[in-house]
Formats: sequence, C-alpha cells, structure tokens
Amino acid sequence: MLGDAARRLMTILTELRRLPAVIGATIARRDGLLIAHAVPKTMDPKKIAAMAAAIVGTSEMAVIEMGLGSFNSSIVDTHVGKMIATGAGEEAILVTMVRNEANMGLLLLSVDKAVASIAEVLKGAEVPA
Amino acid sequence: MMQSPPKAIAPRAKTGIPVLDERLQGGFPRPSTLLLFSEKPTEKRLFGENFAIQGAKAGETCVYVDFFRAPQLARGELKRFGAVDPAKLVLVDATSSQLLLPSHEKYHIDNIDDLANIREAIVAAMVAEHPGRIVVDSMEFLMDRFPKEDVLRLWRELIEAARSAGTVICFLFINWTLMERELDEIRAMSDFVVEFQSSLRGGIIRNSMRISQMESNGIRTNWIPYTFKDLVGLTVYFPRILVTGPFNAGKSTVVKALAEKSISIDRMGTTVAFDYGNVNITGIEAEVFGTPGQERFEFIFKIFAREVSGVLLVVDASHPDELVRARQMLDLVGPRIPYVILANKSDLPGAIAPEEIAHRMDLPDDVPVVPTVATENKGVRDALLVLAEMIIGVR
Amino acid sequence: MTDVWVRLEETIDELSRVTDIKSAAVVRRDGLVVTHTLPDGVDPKMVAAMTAAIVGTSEMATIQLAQGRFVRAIIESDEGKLLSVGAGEEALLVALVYDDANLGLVLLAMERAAKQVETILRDGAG
Repeated sequence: MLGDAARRLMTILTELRRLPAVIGATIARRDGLLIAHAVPKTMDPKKIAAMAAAIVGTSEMAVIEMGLGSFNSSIVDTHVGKMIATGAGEEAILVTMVRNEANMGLLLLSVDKAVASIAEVLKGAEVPA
Repeated sequence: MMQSPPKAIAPRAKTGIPVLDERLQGGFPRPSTLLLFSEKPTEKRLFGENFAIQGAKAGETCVYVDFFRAPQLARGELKRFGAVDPAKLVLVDATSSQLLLPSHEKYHIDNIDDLANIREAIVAAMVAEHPGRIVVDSMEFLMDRFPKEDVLRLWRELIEAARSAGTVICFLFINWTLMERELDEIRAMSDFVVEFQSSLRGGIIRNSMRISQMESNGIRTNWIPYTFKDLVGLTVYFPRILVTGPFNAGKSTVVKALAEKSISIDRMGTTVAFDYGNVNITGIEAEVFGTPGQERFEFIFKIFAREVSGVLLVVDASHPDELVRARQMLDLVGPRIPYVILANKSDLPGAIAPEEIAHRMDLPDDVPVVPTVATENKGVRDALLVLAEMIIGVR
Repeated sequence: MTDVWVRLEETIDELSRVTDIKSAAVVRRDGLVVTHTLPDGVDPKMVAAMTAAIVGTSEMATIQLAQGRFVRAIIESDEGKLLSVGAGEEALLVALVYDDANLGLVLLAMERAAKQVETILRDGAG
C-alpha cells in the first residue's frame, strides 16, 4: 500500500518535471522530512525539504500575525529562476523549482493539480490508528 | 559639619535594577561618590535621572543640579520614569540666571561665571534638604568654562561636603579635554565609576554600561546592555537569549514558560523554524529565541545565532545519551558566550542529577546546571536569572 | 546615530505611501526590528523574526539549489502579499501589499527604497 503511494507520488512529480522550464520538484513533510523527489543530482532534496518546511511554517504564521487571510504559497525569486512552495494537504508541502522563462500561469495550474493529487495520495496512504 | 543621614532612608542607595542591587548588597553605600563617564555623548544622563528617581521612589530626597535644562523642562522629562512625590525632587536651578530670568526654585545659581556661587548653591541644598542622593548634570559644563584646576578643586569640595552629609553624590562627565592622567585623578576621587558606550549595528543602537568599584578587589561588571522602559526606568536588556538543545529536550516549553506571550513555529510535534517570546522579570527584559533541535534545521543558527547575549542549553535529564548532541549544539552558537544548562524533565524517573550531567558533558567547573521541569515552570526563571548574572558579570 | 534612524524612518514612510503598499519595515537580517509602519495589533518583533527566518532560509535554499542570486521572497495569501528583499549586508526591507497590487510598480519602489536603506546604513556605519 505504501509502495503504491510512493509510486503515485513519483508519477505526479515526474509529470510536473516534464513541463518546460521545471527543473525539479520535491515533496516534503511539514516537519521537514523528505517524502519524495525528482530533482537533478546537483541538488540535495533533504535540505530542500527542511528549508521549505521552515519557510512554509514561518510564512503561515506570518500571514496569521499580519491578518492576511490564509496562506497560498511562498515564492523565492532568484536571478535564474523561482522556488515555489505550497501546502499539499495537512501533512505535506510541494516544492517546485522553475527557470525564469516558465509560463507562470500554466505552471501554477499544474502545481494546483499536483497539490490536490498529492493530498489525495497521502490521505489514502494513512494507516488507520 | 557632620550631619547624619535622616533615619528613614535605607542604608544603601538602590539603582532600581534588582540584579545590580543584589550584587551591590542592596545598592551603593552611603556615603559614596559615583562618576558617570563616557568619551562621547551617550545615554549616561538616563542613568543619572534614573538614579535620582529611584531614590525619590524609595522616599529619599534627591538634589538634581542641572546645568543644561530649565527646572520645568527637567521635571517634565523626569516624569517618564514614573510618578514621584514632587517634594522629593529638589532641583538646583542653573539656567534661569543664564537666561536672565528670575528663578522659581528654592536653590538657584545666580552667577554661572562664579565657581564659589555655584558651590554655595549646591552645598546649601545639601545641608538644608538632607538628600539621600545628589546628581550633578554635568561636570563638562564647568570644564568648558573654568580652568580645570579650579573645577577639580570644586569637585573635591563637593565630594567632601557630600561625605559629611552622608549622602551618595553622582557626577556626570563627558571628557572632551582632559588627559588620561587627569582622568585617572578623577577616577581616584570616586568610589564607583559607571562607564557608558553606544554602538550602532545594522540600524540598531545598543547602549551598555559597566560598573567598576575603584577599591582593589572591588566589584567589576561586564558591559551590561540596557534599555529604557516608560514609567519604569532603566532596565537590563538582552537582545537575544538563545534556547537550544537536542530534539525533544523541552526548548519550546521553556520559551513558553518564560514568556507571557510566545509563538512557536512547529509541525507534528517539532519546531521547524523557531520559538520566540519577550520576557520581563525583575528589572530584566530579554528576547528569548528557541531553536529547533533536529539536525536538518541547523541552518537556522546561521540566521539567529548572532549577537547572542547568552544561551540556555536545554537537555532531557532522562535521556543522557543525548548529552553529546547537546554539546555539539553549543558549538553552533560560537565560543565565549555565557551559557547555563537546564537539566529538564528532572522529575522523570531515570533523570540523572545535575552533577552527573556536568560530569558526563565534561563541563568547566563554573558552568551552572539547573534542574528544571519546564512543563510546570519549575526552575526555568531561576536558570534565566543565573544566566543574567553571568552575562552581567556579577556571578 | 539617531540621524540614521530618522533617515530610515523617512524611507519607510515614503514607501508606505506608495498606493498598493499597506505598510513596510526595515528589519535586521538576524531578526531584530529597525523601524516600521506596521499597524497596531501586529507585533513588529514577531514580523521581524519571521521575515528574517523566511529570507535567511530562502537565501540558503538559493545557494543550495545553485540558483544564482537571491532576489526576493514573496508570500502569497488570500488577502495580500508579503514581500521581502535584501537591503545591504545587514538589513532587509519588507512590505505588506494588497492582494490586487500592481507588483511591477511595488517591486520598483522597493528596489529604490532598499538601495536607500543600504546607503543610509553604510553611511551611518562610518
């Protein structure tokens, strides 16, 4: 059952990675542990997972403190690309790395879809208490 | 003329900062001479004002000699330290005559160009009011107008008069013109020297002071960072106390126990970014930051482990296998930063004793290990106070 | 030294007057507040710590991912955005903007203000 979930998550990630300008994608648990990844060998997905968890956790708190409604995503702009981190269900975060040429409209649609799928997989994979 | 201090006042003059007063065994002894000194304009007037108001709050009469501000202005500015009985604050007016205005104060200097007149006015206030404290704000005003030998003579005369009156006299002074030898002379005339410095880093000003007792083997504190709180006065202020330690030691709980209001960025039972709370206890204000314990979040230290005043290293006393990890985390903060070990969960069966923890961590003898039960707020404040004393240099 | 603070305050006041910007802050990179126009009810110390954590971590992530230079962090939420950029070695500039803000204009204004902050801090450090 868990192996099935792992495979399904990899499918979601590789599909995402097939989009033009997407460099890599990572699924992290909200406490910073790595769940799954599809990133180039030059990147350390474990570090990405921990940092994304810190960023998203802090952003969610910041948004509450500043009365900005509910958190959607955090985007780190660099001069070659972006790192987009967004919640994927209660337990996880999806981190997508893209090049600046990316078509953001299409990309964000794909990210939204991926997030919904991930949330579903993880819910289904939960072992009942 | 020998005068004994009025019976009602305390034998020592409190600063109003409990950590300091404790180290001073209640406060500055009577009589004594204080020098509040800096090389550049700093916040030392704040200490002088605070000192006067603390005295007034304690029921002592305080004589404040102000060469710069009109009495009305001075009284107005002193209000921010909190309300006091106005009769306890006696101002010696040194500005009305400069402005060619009549004075409304009981004690006034009529001729600002006559040192004898200046001395008379101050001594008159001393003799008639039996003050517990006298503040002279500020001696460089005189150094600028009169030959330094004459000013030094007046300085000694005032010290003598204060001693006879059994009071604490406090001289503010910025040095513009004196040589080191002359400064040494002034220091030697004083019982305590309080120095001030300010630094600016990244847009934030840090004020600190240090107290040295001139007698050999006297008190010597470290540089103490301070701030001013409305209606309270001078407060020791630690811009960052780091609470760190292995995963699950109880760091977030410690932060929650210390601060009335705190935040914790945590998920699934572990801190993923940091904890933060503002703590106020007995004359000390501290910004307390908790770090995550998990190794994967060590990058957080690079952000927050700067300008750290001190560290509370929290260990789970019932898990001695994690003591090595605890020691490692100390290295993430950097050398020469004061720290206290909290032997947390000390109520659990299997919790090892503080001495055993010190032994297993191979700690230097002077590192305090305080047993705590953070979930019940036991020992946590004590640990912070011990750390505060170490930072200040009174432990 | 108070001159530095006054100039920073002016920069932040000016930035806050830009149409789409609700409020702004200068924050030290280690999480301490320098100056701000945040509304009452928002704790500036918490905002400072949180934005420092977000930017600091984002910068390290950028290096980790070998993605060149960090430029900015944008937190998007239902009712607005939180933007953070570096303002020299010691500081960050943070702005709260309305959800429908013209980001192009806002980012330009922030870039200008960030340069100003950097200069003020560098001058003051002399």
